[in-house]
Amino acid sequence: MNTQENIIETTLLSLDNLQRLEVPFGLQFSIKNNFNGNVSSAMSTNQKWMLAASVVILIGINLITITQYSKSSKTLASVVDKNVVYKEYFSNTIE
Amino acid sequence: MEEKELILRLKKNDQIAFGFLVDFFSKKVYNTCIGMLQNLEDAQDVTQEIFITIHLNVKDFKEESSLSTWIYRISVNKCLEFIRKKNRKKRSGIFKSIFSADGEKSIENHSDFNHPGIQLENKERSIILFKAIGLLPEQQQTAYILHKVEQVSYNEIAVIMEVSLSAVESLLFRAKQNLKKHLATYYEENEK
Repeated sequence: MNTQENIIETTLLSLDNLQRLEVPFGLQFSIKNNFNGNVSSAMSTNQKWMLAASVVILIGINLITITQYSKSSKTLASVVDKNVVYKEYFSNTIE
Repeated sequence: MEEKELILRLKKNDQIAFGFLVDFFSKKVYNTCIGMLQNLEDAQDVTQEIFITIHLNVKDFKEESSLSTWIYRISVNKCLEFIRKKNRKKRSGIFKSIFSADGEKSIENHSDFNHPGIQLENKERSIILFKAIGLLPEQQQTAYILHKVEQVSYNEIAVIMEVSLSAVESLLFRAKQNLKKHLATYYEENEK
């Protein structure tokens, strides 16, 4: 057996005497919690991040819409006011 | 608590029985997930999913195999499902498809996994071995992990994977041959 074969054989044996890991307490707790009807914690971390991100995006879109709407309504109001002033002014001058 | 009684109580949605099931089987499920997924966070997420599946499907458990075998089968299927989903995401990565050679499989391209349960003197070699295991076809990978990490007997692997005993022997033989091939390529490239 040459050196490389030896290395391969020892690599293949590297999983021998592997110690199995204990389940984290938090994980066991949340699994048991799921059985008590608490399905919300059944979400994966990724899903939780996605949910948080979508809530943030939703709030952001709402804020942008509100500010833009208030801006456009202000300008619209000022245009309407000006029109009224012009109408009154020109109607007076014609008379 | 005997298995028959446990199954009966699980089918009646007994919360104490579920607690007992988690205490008794979570270590097996978690360690199988770690071996197959090679990522502790993913293993935790999938372990949760597995117990939810067990909870939802225990009513349909026909008791044709032992509870342990049934749980192992669910665990293996869920892990494979997760790996497939992850691989699909990787493949659809636009940058990956543009910049990397398609279908190139080598130990170098596989991410590192340092299993916390490995003895210190075996750490480096086990990282390389785990990478090589990740390159095996699904069936070979499953049989190898169940045998090497979980020390499940050939007979039980056959029942879990729903194949014959000779098929398990063949899967494990081919897995070892493929691992040797991958490792040989890796060590040749790294000697240069």
